[in-house]
Amino acid sequence: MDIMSSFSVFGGTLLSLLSSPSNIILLIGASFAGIIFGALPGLTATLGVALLTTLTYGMDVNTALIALLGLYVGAIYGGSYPAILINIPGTAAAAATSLDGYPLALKGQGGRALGLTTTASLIGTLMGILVLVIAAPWVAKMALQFTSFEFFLLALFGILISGTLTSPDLVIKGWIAGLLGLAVSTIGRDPLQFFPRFTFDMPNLDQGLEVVPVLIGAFGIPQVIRALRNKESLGAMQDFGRILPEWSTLFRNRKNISRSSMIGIGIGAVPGIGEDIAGWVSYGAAKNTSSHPETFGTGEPEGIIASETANNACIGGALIPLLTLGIPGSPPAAMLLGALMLHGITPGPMIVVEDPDFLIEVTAILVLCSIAMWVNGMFLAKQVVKVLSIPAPIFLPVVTLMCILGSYALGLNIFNLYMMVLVGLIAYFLGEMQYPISPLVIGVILGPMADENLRRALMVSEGSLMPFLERPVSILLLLVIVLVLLSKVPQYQLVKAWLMKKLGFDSNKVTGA
Amino acid sequence: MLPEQLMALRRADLKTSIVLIVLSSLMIIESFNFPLTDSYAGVTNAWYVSPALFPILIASILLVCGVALFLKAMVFVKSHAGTASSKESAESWGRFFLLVSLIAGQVYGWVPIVDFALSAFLFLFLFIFSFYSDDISIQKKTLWLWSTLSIVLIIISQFFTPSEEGRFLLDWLVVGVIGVILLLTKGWAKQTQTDKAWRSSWKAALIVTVIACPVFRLGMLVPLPTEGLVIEKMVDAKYAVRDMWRGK
Repeated sequence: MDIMSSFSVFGGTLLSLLSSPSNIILLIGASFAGIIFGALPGLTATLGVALLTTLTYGMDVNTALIALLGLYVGAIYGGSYPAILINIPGTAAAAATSLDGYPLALKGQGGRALGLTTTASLIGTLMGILVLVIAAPWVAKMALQFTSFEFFLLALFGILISGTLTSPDLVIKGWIAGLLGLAVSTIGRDPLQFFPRFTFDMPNLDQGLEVVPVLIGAFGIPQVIRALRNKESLGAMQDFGRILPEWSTLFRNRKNISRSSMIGIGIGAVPGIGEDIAGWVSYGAAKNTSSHPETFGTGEPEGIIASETANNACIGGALIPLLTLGIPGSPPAAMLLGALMLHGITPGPMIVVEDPDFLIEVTAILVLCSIAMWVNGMFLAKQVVKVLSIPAPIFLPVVTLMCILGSYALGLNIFNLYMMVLVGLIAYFLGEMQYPISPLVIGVILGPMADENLRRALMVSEGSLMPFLERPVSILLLLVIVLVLLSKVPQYQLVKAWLMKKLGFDSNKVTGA
Repeated sequence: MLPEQLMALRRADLKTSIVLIVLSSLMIIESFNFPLTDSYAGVTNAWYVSPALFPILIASILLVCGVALFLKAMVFVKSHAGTASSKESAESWGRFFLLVSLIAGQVYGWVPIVDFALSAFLFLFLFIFSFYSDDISIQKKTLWLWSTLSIVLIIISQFFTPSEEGRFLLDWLVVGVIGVILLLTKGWAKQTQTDKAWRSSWKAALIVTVIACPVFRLGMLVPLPTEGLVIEKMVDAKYAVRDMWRGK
């Protein structure tokens, strides 16, 4: 598709979406709901997308995407409200924002901080979209050359890298979480011969576990239990004046914005790790490159801009592997994958062949969502703040009821509810023992892909593993997987340090330690 | 992380690793009951077509990881034998059991058998009241009350299949139970001076139920898990109003 026809599809999609008043209401409403989901501590973008998926079941794909992406973009941005006003990040993505946002609010400049986060989030999202629209067709074209060997390794890579990077404790726990997800995905009839595996003669398990109730359970129930069990309390709400975009400060930070956007997009594109890591890495990079790093943590606008630009840029980055390879780049993107499959769309390289306009349509919807987020942020901030005053013991039971309704509504099967609670409790205990939940969820989603492609690959090679070592992309993926595994083995670190010493490199100088 | 917390975590890792080892071993044993060779798309009797291949592969890696975690945790626990483990307070465990009882009771006990609007109202009311009042005595009483009622409902749904009339009778009984619980909790609220929390709780529960049920059932046409006394009447009322509107 040439650039002119892409622009015409883009413009046409924008016009057709904007010509319907119901779409505009839905866009503003979903974005506002997203901001509230992000702003309320205990709720996350992933849970918001999970719950909204149920409500979009009867909608056409574009309308459903307006709702889901509107909520996703809004929720990532919304986490900055409590981070700035009460020093409690609404989502993990906004954790770095609170370091400078709250001190700025204490100085009576809460409105300024919110203005900066709103506009930085808009710029970050737009940068992410720009890279998505440029990179996605290339990645998809390249992925069209992939065979079962590459797809199996890609699924393995996604789970492994997500487990490695998101584990808060031992790395092995991240891998175990991913493997547990893969194990759960084997329940039900197998994708090739339809042989019932681990169904124990229960007809409800024949089709395997439904992804959406599993995701709602994994992300929703632990949040409710954790917040109410630990009695998470909020700080004193700070006043804020008028919210202004403050273009001059943003212009002075153009380098910071560009760097943070690239960090956000890059981290977003890595399977399974999301906005929270992007925010922290970008904040760290801004501090390290700043001429006055000592002011970070005392209300430095540079810090707020860095973390908010990066976490929103991550959205576009996370959509690149999702749309082109069918591998989610972040936890909310994993939920989005479930929602797309529910609407009969299977993201992956074939999407550019089967529906060449889809990427452009998603881009147009994302642009609208980011504008809606900005408008909501600039004009409805006071209303969002009012919602923040609702105590957690009131809104979390309501969220639990929505989890129940959401899990039931998709398959109209009470068995899904039983599974949702069971998965929720297991996810809660795993979380308490410092196991990351994202690899588990990604394992559940990518399991069937890994299973089917491994067997198809072996069928093509008649049981030989050699093609894994003969195909260039396959070798590259294998190398990365082996390196990721080795990098976590203590003996490898010792050998690496010894080699560096032999070669004349001082590892301390290299790492800056 | 404090040394006591780390010790508690490693002790928990020990238990988890044992669970993982047992689970993955059972998975491998069960997988060996699947056909170990199979045929597909012209490939006949090949091991790599077997539906057992992927589960055995995953379970084997999981087993190795479980053993590695066990060894790591064991080494830590042995080398820090003098360090005590941190423990969650009894109050925190009380809140946890109440949360599990509320959620599991609603899903396994109430939802399959009681009209959704009635069960949702009672669930929300007790959930909000017990945590919004933030009083341990109320939380303890709620735990016992809700658990008992939920267990009774689980027994009813497992051992009896109530007829249509039986279900309506049960719904009327639940209406009575709701009335009794409202009065009972009002008494608890007076004793603990949490009247404001009691009022906010029933109002919030009522508002959410009144909005959520029609939105899902009438707006999105999603049938609710159990439709009885309230939901069926609500649907009947919708069609009656529609017929009146159309002049039938």
